Amino acid sequence: MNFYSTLITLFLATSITSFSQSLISGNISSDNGESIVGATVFLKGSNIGSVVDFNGFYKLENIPKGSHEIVVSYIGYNTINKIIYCDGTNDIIFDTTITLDNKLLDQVVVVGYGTQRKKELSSSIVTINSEDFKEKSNNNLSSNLQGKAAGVQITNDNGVAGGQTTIRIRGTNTLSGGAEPLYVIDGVPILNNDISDSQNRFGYNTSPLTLINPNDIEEISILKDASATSIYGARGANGVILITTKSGKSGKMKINLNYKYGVSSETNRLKMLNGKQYLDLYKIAWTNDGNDIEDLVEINGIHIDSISNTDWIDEVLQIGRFNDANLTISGGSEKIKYFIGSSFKEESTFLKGNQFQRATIKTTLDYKPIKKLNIKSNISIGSIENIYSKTGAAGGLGRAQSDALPIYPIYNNDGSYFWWDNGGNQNLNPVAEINLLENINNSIRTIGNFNIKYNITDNLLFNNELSIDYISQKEKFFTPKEIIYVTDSLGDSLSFMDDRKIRYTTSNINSFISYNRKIKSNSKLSIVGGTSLQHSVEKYKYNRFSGPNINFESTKEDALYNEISIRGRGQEYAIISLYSRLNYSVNEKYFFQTSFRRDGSSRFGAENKFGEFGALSIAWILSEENYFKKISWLSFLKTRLSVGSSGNDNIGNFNQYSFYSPNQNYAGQNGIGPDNPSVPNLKWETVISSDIAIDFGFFEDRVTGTIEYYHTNSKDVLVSNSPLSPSSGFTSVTKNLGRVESSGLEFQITTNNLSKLSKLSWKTDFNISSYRNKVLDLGGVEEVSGTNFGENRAIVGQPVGVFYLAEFAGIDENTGNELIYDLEGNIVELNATNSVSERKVLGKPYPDFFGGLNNSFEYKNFGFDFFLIFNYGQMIYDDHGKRQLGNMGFGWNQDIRTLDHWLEVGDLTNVPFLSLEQNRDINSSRHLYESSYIRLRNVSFSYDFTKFTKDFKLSNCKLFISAQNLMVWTKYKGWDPEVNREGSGAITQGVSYLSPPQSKVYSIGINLNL
Amino acid sequence: MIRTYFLFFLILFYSCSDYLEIVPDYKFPSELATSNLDSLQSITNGIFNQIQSGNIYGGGIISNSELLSDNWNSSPISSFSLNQLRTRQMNSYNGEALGLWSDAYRAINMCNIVLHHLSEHEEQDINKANIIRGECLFVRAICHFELVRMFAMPYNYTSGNNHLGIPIRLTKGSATDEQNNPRNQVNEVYLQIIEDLEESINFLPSNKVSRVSKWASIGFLAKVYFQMNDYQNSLNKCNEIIESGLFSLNNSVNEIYSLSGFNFSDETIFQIINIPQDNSNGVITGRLKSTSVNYFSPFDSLVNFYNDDRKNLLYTFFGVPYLKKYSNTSMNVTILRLAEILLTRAECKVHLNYLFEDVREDYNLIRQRANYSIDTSSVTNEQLLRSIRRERCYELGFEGDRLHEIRRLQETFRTSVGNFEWDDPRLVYPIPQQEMDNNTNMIQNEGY
Repeated sequence: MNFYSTLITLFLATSITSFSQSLISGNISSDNGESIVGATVFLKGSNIGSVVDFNGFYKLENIPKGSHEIVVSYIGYNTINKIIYCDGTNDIIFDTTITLDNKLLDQVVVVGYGTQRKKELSSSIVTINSEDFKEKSNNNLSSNLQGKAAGVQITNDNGVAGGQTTIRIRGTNTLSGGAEPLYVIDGVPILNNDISDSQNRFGYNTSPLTLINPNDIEEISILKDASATSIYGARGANGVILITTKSGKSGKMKINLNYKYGVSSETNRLKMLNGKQYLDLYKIAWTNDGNDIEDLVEINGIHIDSISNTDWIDEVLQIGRFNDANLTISGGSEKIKYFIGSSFKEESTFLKGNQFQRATIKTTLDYKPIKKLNIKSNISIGSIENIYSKTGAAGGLGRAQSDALPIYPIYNNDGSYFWWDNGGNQNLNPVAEINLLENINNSIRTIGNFNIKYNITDNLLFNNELSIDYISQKEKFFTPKEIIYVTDSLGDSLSFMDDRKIRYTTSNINSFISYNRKIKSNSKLSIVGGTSLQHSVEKYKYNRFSGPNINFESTKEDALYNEISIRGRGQEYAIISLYSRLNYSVNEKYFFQTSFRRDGSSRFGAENKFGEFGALSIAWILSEENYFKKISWLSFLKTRLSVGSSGNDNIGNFNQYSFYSPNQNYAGQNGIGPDNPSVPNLKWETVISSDIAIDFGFFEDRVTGTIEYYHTNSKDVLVSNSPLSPSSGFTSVTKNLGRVESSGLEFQITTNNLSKLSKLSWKTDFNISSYRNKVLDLGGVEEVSGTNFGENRAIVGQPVGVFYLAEFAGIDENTGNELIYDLEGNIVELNATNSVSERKVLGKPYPDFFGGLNNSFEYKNFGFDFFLIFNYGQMIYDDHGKRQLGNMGFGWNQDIRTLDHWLEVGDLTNVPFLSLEQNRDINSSRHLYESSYIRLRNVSFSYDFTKFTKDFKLSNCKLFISAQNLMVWTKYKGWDPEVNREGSGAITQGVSYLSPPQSKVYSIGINLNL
Repeated sequence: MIRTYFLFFLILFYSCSDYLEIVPDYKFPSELATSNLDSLQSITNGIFNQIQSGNIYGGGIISNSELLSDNWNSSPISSFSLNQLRTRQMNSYNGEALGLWSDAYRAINMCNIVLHHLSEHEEQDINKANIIRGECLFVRAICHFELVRMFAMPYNYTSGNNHLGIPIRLTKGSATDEQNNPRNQVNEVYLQIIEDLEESINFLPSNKVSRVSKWASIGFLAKVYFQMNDYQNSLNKCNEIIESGLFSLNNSVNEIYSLSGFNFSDETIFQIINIPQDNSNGVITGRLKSTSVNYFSPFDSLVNFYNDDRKNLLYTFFGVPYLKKYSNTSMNVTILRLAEILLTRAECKVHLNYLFEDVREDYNLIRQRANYSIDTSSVTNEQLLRSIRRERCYELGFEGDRLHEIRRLQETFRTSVGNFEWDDPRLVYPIPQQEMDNNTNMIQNEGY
C-alpha cells in the first residue's frame, strides 16, 4: 500500500519540482496493440510512479542511480515486474505489452449441474462469497445473505436460537404452496422444512439449516430467473440457493483458526404497566362499567390490598452469550486434496432457558488417481442440542407481556410458584415454566456426497453423484406434575413426558454427462444432460407417557400410563427427473442458452404425473463491439434476456389422495376418520418468467453493477385452505386454482470510491429492489385467507397477503369508543360485526422497496465495515396489540401507552375508554402500523497484526470486533419491525403476535491462518 | 457414445414411474376404509371420537351455553372467541361457532358415510351392523339437535317453526358436491331428529351399559320433545325410561362427577367415556374447573342452603361462589342422566295436570338424594313449576341445560353484561364465515 501514498505525494510534487537526473518512459499496450490507458507504472520500494496517459505513454522522473524493479499493473491484466538498471544520467525507454489476466474475467460461477464463466452468463445469478459474512455470528446460514443481493428479501423471524429465516426470492408467487427457495448443497437438494414440534409447543419455528456450519461455506449462488432455475424444474420456481462448501486446494497445508465470543440482548423492550398502574387502570375500568368501587375486592384471586409488582419481562430475559470456534485444515497436491473442518458453538440467548450447542465436522477428499478420473467425497456432520424456551403465543416472553399480570407474585408466601392456568390445567407462570419444564431437541444431520467424474474423451465428461441427507432428531418434552394439573383415578398428580423421534432421510442419485467442443475457431458448444432420482422418507416414533414419579430421564417402561405409542413412516416424497442444458457462444460476444427438464413427483395427482419445464436466454457483450470499445470509461457492458418456466412442488405430500387417518380412537377402540376429499388432478404450480438485464462496468471496472427487470406469471397456483362449506363434512381441499403475476426492478452496484492509488480503500456495495405482485384469479372465489389468523388475504386484483381490516377512524371524543369508517365512508362505532362487514384492503406486508448498503474501508492494517439494510413501505399487523392496548377486558397486562386512555369528553387519544365488559378484542387498522425501517445490521472493526506475529509463522492474523443489529430506525412501536409470526405461510406475512425481537449482538473474535 | 448414454437415461427414467406411487402407510385409502364391516366399525369409533372433541361433548357445547346463559360470571377471558361469547358480541369469525359447526357436520358426514355403505356389508354380521346403524342414526340426530339449538332461533320462535334452522345432511359429502346446502326450517330439523332417534331405537341394544343404548335414544327424544314443549310425548319417553326399572339415582351427588372409564353409574343414561389416553374432557374441566357463579343467577342461591349436599359442589372465595363440580380431570362427561329425566317428567306432569303428589314425588327424589328437605308445600301448578325449575337449576347447573331452558320458557335473564331476552339474536351463534363464503345458499343469522 506504500506506493499509493508515494504516488499521491509524487503527483503533488511534480508541478513544483524539477531537479531530474534520469528518467524512464515508454509505451504500455495490450497484446493486441491497444494502449492501456490508466495502467500504473512504479518502481517497487520507492515513491516513484506514474499513470499511463491517453496516448499510452508514461514517464518516471527523478530516478536515482541503481537497480530498480519496475512494476506495471492494470486491473484485469497480468502484472509485469522487470529489473532495470539506471545509471543516473541516461534516460531509459521501457516499452512493454501486458496480457489479459484470464483468472479474473474467467471468474467461475456455480450454476445448476455445472459451472459457467461469469462473463458468459445469460441468466440472473448473484454470488456471495464467504468473505462477505465470515465475521457474522448467525446460526442460520441464510441470514448471512440478508441485504446482500437485489431481489432477495430475508427476514429473521426472531432472535431465538435455532430460529427460522424467511427468504423470498423475487417475492411471493404462490398462495398456499411453500414460498421458500430450494436449497442445494454441493449439488444435493436438502431439506429446509421445520420438522420439529417447536412451533406448536414453543411459539417459534426452528430450521434444520442451523445444523450446517456457516463457516464451512465457500460461496453461495442465488439463482433468480427462469433461465437459471428451470433446470431445477418443478422445484425451481421460488428460486434456488446453491451452496458450495469449502474444499482443499493444492499447495502447502493451511490451517485456519477462528474464534468468536459475544454477548447478546433483545433489540428492544416493550414497556408494560407495573402492578400499581395495572390496578389503577383496572379500577377505572371497573367504575366505567358502572360498578361500585367498594365492590372491587379482588382481581383473579389477588386481593387488591396485597398486589405484587412483578416485571415479568425482566424475569424472562437475560444477557445472552456465545462462544464459537472453528478450525480448518486444508491442502493437497495435484493428486489428492483435502479439507477438514470442525466447529463448536455454544450459545444462550437473551431468552432465559434458551440454549443452543452445535458441533460440526466436515471432511472433503478429492482424489485424482489418473488424469481422466476424479473422485470426491464430502461428508459433513452437524450435531445440535437445542434447549427450547417458550415464547410467542406459547409462553415465556409472550406470556410475560400478556396474561402474566404485574399484580401476580412469582412465588407464593410458602415459596411455591404462584399458579394460574386460564382454564388449561397447566400453570402458566412463565418463571415456573422456565425453571420446571425440560424441553430438549437433540439432532444430528449428516450430509454426505460421493462424486465420480470421468473424462471419457477430452470433450466428454461423465459425472455421477450419490448423496444422502440424514437428519435424526430427538425431542423430549417433560412437564412435571408441579406444573400440570392432571390426576389419575387414584387421585395422584401426573407428570408427562413426550418423546418424539424423527429420522428424515433423503437419498439422491444424479448422473449427467457434459460435452464441450469448439466449433470452428470462434464458437463454443457445451451440453449438459442427465437424470436424477431423489427419495425422502420420514420415520417417526412418538411416545407419550405419564406417571406420578417419572422424571426427564424416565423411559416409557418406568411410566405408569402409556398414553400414546406410535411409530411408522410419516412424510415421504420422490422425484425423478431428466434434464439438459445447451450453451452456444460465438466470438465470446454472443451467448445462447436453452434448458429443459422433465420432472415426475409423488406429490402430483394421477392425471398429472409429469411436468415439463424449459427456458431460453441470450446475452450479448456490447463492450466487445468496436463501437463501444471507443468509449474509454466503459469497461464492460452486457445485455441479457431470458424467458422460461419453472415449477413449485411445495404442495405437501399425499394431498392428491383421499385418506382415512387412524388414531381417532374412542374409549380405547381404534377409530379412523376421513381427512380430505381426493384431488386426482393435483399438480405443481407453474411460474413463467421473463427477465431483461444490463450488466455494466465503468472506469476500469471500479464501478460494476446490474440493472434488471423481470415479470412472472404463475398459474395453477395452489389454493389449499379454502373452498369447502364445513356443512359438507369437509373443511378444506387443495386445488390448483389460482393465478398470480408479479414484476420487479432490481439494481445492484459496487464501487471502489477512491483511486487505487489511495492509501485508504473504500468500497461500497449497494442494492435496491422493488416488486409488485397481484392475484389474478382464485378459481372463482373472491378471497382466500391466510393461516389461522384473519388479517391477511389473497384477494383478486390485490397483492398477495394484503391486510384486510376495518379502517380505524379514531376514538370518539364524546364516548371513548373506537370508530371506524364504514364502506360508504361514514364514521361508525366499531363492533364485532362491522369489524368483519366493513373490511377493506389497507396495505401490504411486503415493502415497496428494500435493499442493503455496505461500506468497507481499509487503511493500513485497519478495516472498518458497516452494513445497513432497509425496507420501505410495508405494514405490520400487531395482532397482540388489540389485547395490549386499551383492552382491560381481555385479562392481559397492557402496554404502557394504555395510560393515555380516553377518560372524559373531549379527550383526544387512540386508546378507547377502559372497560372490563366491552369486547375490544376486535381487529381494525388501529393495530396496523407502517413498519419501514433502516437497520444497522452490522458494524465491524478489524485489525490485521500479521506483521507483529511473523516470528510465529502466521501468514495472517486478524482481530475483529463487531456489533450486529446495533440500531434500528423505525416508526413501528412494537418489539421489532423485522418480525414474522410462527407458522406464517405465503399469504400470512407481516403479522406479529407476542413474537420475540431480534437479538443485538456484540462480539469479538480472532482469525489466525498458519 | 452420447446416444448410448441418452438412451440409458431414458430407460432409467421411464422404468421408474412406479417409484412415484407413494402412499403413506399410516393412512387408509377411502375405498379400503369403507370396504368391509370392520372398517365401518372403525369409522363409527371415529364418530365417537369426533363427538368427544372439545367443541362438542368434550365440553365446548356445555361450557359455551353456560357462558351465554346467566350462570357463569366470567371475568375477562384471554381468548378471542370465548371473550366474544362472554360479552355476547360475536362475529362470524368466532372460533367456537366454527368449531362446533365443522366438528358436528364432520360427525354427521361420517355417520352418512357409514349409513351409505352399511347395507353393502351388513350380511357379514347383522347384529354388529344393526348396532352400527343405530349408533350412526343416534349421533346424526343429536348433532343436528345441538346445531339447531346453537345456530338457530329457538323452537317456538315462530308459531309454525318455519324460521331458519340449519342444513339437514343425510347424504355423504364430497369436494365437489354438497357445497351449497340450504338451511332447513326449524320444524323440519326437529322432525328429522325425531325420525332418526325413533329409527335408532330399533337397532340399539337395550343393555344400559352400552356405548349407546336404546335408552339414550329414548332419553334424547324426551329432551327434544321437551324443548318443543310437547309435554305428552316427552312424558311418554320419560316414562319408558323410568318404568324400565334399569335406572335409579346414585346415592351421592358427587358420584356422577368422578365417574371415569367404562363405569356406568345407576343414573347414567348417556355419557362420553374418558380414559387417560383420550383425555377428552379437557375443555369442560379446564373452563369450568373454578368458575365463578353469578350472584344473581338461580344457581347461586344454592350457596345459602347449608344442608343441601350440592352446596359442596361450590366453594366461596372473598364471598364469591366458585364451581368445583369439575375438579376431577379424569371424569367422564355425562350427557344425560336420570335426574334430568325425572325433572323433565315432573314438569310435563304439571302441564298435563297430574296430581301434585305425583309431581312432587319425582323431584323430591332428587332433593332427598341431596339430603335436602322434601317439598311438601307446593300444591298449585305455579308453585310446583317454581320448585321444579329451581331444582333443575341446582341439579343441572353448569351442565349445559340453563340456556336452553331460558329459551324454552321464553324468559328474560340477567348477566354481568346486561339483561337479555330469550330470543335475543346475540345469543344465537353466527353462521361461520367459511360457510358463508363457500355456500351460496347460506343465509346469515340476524345481526351478523
